[in-house]
Order: sequence, then structure tokens, then C-alpha cells
Amino acid sequence: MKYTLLIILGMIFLQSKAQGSTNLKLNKTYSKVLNNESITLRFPQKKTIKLDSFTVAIDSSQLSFLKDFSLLDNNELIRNYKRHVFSGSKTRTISQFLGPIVILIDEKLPQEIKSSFINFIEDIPEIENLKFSFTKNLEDANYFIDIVDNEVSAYSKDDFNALDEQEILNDTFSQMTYKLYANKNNKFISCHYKISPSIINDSLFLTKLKKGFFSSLGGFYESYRAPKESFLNSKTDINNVYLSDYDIMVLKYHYKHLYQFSINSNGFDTLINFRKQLIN
Amino acid sequence: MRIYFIIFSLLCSLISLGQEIETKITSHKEKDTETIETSHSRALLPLKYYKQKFKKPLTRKDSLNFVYKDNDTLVVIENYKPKGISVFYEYKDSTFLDLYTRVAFKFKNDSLKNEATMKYWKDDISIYFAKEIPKKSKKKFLDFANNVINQVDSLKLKEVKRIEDSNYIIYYSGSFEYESRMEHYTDSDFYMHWNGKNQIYKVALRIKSDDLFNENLRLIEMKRLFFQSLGYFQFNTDLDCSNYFSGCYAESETLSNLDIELLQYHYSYGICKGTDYKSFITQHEKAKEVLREKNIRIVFLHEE
Repeated sequence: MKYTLLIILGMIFLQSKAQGSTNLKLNKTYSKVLNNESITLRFPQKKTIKLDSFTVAIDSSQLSFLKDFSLLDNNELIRNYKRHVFSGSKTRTISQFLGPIVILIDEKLPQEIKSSFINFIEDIPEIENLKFSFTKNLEDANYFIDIVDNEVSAYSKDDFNALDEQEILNDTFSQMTYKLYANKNNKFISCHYKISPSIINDSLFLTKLKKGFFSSLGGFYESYRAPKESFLNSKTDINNVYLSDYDIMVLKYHYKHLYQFSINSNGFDTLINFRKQLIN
Repeated sequence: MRIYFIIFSLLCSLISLGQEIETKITSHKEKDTETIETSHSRALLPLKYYKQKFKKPLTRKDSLNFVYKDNDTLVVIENYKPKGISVFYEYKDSTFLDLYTRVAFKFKNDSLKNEATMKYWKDDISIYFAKEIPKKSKKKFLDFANNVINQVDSLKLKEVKRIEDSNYIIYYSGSFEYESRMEHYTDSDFYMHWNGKNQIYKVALRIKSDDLFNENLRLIEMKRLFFQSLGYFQFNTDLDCSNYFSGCYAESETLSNLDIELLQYHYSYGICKGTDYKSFITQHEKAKEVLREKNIRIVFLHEE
């Protein structure tokens, strides 16, 4: 297989290392090369035919974002971020929303909750590659917060039945769940956020809704190690009305660049190493 | 004017038996079209295939003429003219073939790779849309589908109004369940039927309308599944997003030159159709060897 490397931004070393590693698979561009080779046939008549070939190019500009990605230099942030995104898994990949998130909130959501929730979102500072807006038209939405008619849970029926009352109360997704629709490039196209009708009047509902919504923005995992004021902390008794600085940092980190290729935990480590080499 | 030559040909129907034969064609019309006709041929058929195909006892002459090759007994048949079309080998380089096999042959793990088969439509596709699908969505879908289909000469698509005239049904969950085997599927999907030649002859495509809560989302998924069902295709995430085969649907919905090249090749008769991966690779090796060493393109005989 022939690889033609397009050298952009003088990142030759990044390119070769990326291909040498199985951790990071940059996108390839295939091109047909015309008139590369020919052969003269003896039958049915003497005739020369072209044997077209294909070349594969890997555009190293896919990594050019690294030069401005100073957040990757913060070891503590990296450790925390990886916990929320990969949760110790080697196979989970970074997933991001494709475009602006256009939210439709079910009319059945109590007005007070709705207003608080909208305020919560509108308070999120500007994040690169992540925008929010609201709509009243289902056809325009790509994020639907839906009070469904039946009871839903992120747990299977058996697992839910095994939870005691306190666990149900404390768990964000015991009575809510969301389904993200993604393409093969790990980009979220839409989210259907489903809420059990029975949870609406619970005192922790608004907090759980905020936590769940925030988690859906990157398929983030909660952790007990996150600061207690963070919406990514596993506990649900958070007094914060708005996102904490920690949460905002995670979000900025996550959406700093919309990746064109798949990144798992090892791939992410490779990116960090590339960045180190780039700045040293 | 007629010319006389001996060329190699491969009978595609035997590929599925894991056995190739060589038919020597001794005359040929002087016409360099991709479809050729044979006027006389001498075939060497594996004994197993002979018994299966002809269902008549071998004569003493047949037995005396047996040819032994690669631990196989071959029966010589003079004037063997299978019904079908003969097409010259279509050359593709290893880079393209590597990419093609990764989208056309679906397998769970490498140990099953050789047995994985490529699947294709032989007949026209007649789509029936369930009544819950809005006209607007139908139109947008058909615009996309026709654009894809029009890239392939041997593929035709039409919408039919009666379900009994269809071989492709598109419907939403929550209404009539046209394919009960998908009833409990948690995601949108299709259920595909194919025959022993790996020719696709029926598909039911089901959109999970509750998860995909508006027509825009349903349409993206409908297009994605339809595209994949044209050949039981897999997406290749190594490709950049300008290609539909990259799986970046919703990011790009137009077909790139590479998409078209892959689609057209899938439906090209310049190689046997419906084969398993191992046969596909073996055929190419053989065809390339003959092309480079003898300057002749192998002919693939596609039996009816």
C-alpha cells in the first residue's frame, strides 16, 4: 500500500509517529492515479489498457489543532478528564455533538423547573464548538427533553428492581435515561432525553436533570472523585445552581476540537505525547 | 472477421464450491466489449460439481478422460457453453481492493474473514413505503436513493404502491410490524434476505421512530440503512468524512468519487459476484497473474 503524506504545518514527525502507533488512526484520503501503469493486451485485439491505481494520503493537518491545545499540558486536568470520558475503559472513545444543540423541552415539564433549567443552560459560558438554543418546534430540535408516559430508567428491569429506595433517590439515572444517536465518526446527531413522570415532583429532580443533561453532552461518566460542587460528582445532593468551574473546564476541554478521527484512551495519551514533543 | 485464441475463464457459479475451473475458449468475436460471447469451449468440471449440475451418469469415455489436478478429479466436457454472460476481468490495484474488501465483506472477527461473503442485488429494487411515512420524507429519501442507484448501471429502483409488488419495505416502529423478527430490536435496522448465490432479494427497513423523534433524524437513518443494504456494506472509519462510506452520515450526504467507485465496483461483473472473501482474493491473484504474465484478461462467466 502506498502512502503519500501531505506535509502540512511541518508536522512530519507527528505524522510518522501517528502511523507507527496503533493507538491513533488518522483519516485517510484515497485518490485515483490515472495513467500510472499500462499493459498491452494480446486478445481479443492488440490494445493497451491503463491499470489505474490508488494512493492513500494522510493529511497531518488533522493534528494541527495540537499546537493551540494548551489544556493538554495540565496533568491534573487530563487525569480528571479521562476519568469522565473513558472511565477506565480502553475501548471507549471521545464522542461529541456535531453542531449546535437545539433543545425542545416537553410542555409537561413544570414551568418553574423549566425556567431554572433554561437559566442553567444559558449561564454556560461560551464554549468553542458548542452552542445551545431552544425551540418549540420538534422538527427543528436535535435534543428533546421528553416526559414520557411510562416509567423509564437507565437500568435494566432486573437491575432497577435490585436498587433500594435510597439508591433510587441518589442515582441520577434511576428514573431518567437518554439515548444518543451518533454516526460512526463518534458524533452525536441527536439526543432523546426521557424522564419518568413519577420523578417530576421529587426534590432532587432539577439537580438530576441538570446532571443528566450535562453528562449527555459528552457521554460523560460521573465520579465520586469529582469536586463535590461538580455536576459530574456521583452524589446528587449538589447545592450548585450552575455549572462549577470544574465542569466548565471539562466541557471546554471536550469541545476544544471536533476530532475527525476516533480517539480511545490510548489514542488520547498519544495526542498528549505529540503535544509534549511539539512544545519542547 | 473471427480470431482464434485460447483464453482462461472462470465460471463464477463454481466459486461458491471453493473450486475454480478453467474453460478454454477457442474462438471469439473480434469485438472488444466488456461482454463477450463464446462459440466453443472445453471445460474441466470438478466431479462433485458435475454430478450436482448434470445429474446423469458418467460415460466410460468421461472416466477415461478424467484430469487430476490439485487432488481433485476433473471431468472434461467439450462444447460446454453455460448460459449467462461473460465479462472481462476488471483490474483493480491492491490499495483499492483492500479498501473494497473492508466495506463489502462483513465478518465478526478475523478467523471468520475467509468465509465472509459479499452480497448484492440482482433484481430491481421495488420499495413500498408504509403509510406513516410523510410524503416529504419519502421524496427526500427517493432523491437520495435515486442519486445513489443512478451511479450503478445494473441497479434500478422504483416505488410501488402495493406491498405484494415490493421487495423492499420501509416502515416506522410503533405501526404495523412488517418484519416480526425486528420487533424487539432496540435500534433502527434492516432485515435482509439473500439466496444461496448471496443475491439480496428482500429487505425490511425499520426506523425506531420514538428515539429518532423527528423526520429529519429519521431521514438520516433511513438513508444510512438503505445505503448499507445495497451490499450489506460496512462503514470504514479510516476514510475522511467527505466519503459516505466513512460513516459520517449527517456530516456529508453526497457521494464522493471514491464512494461511486466502490459502489460501481461492487456491481461490476468484471469479477465474480456473491463470492466469499477467500475466493475473491484468489480470483484476483489468478486474474492479475494471467494479465501480467500472458497479457490476457481472464473472462468471468456469470451463469444464469
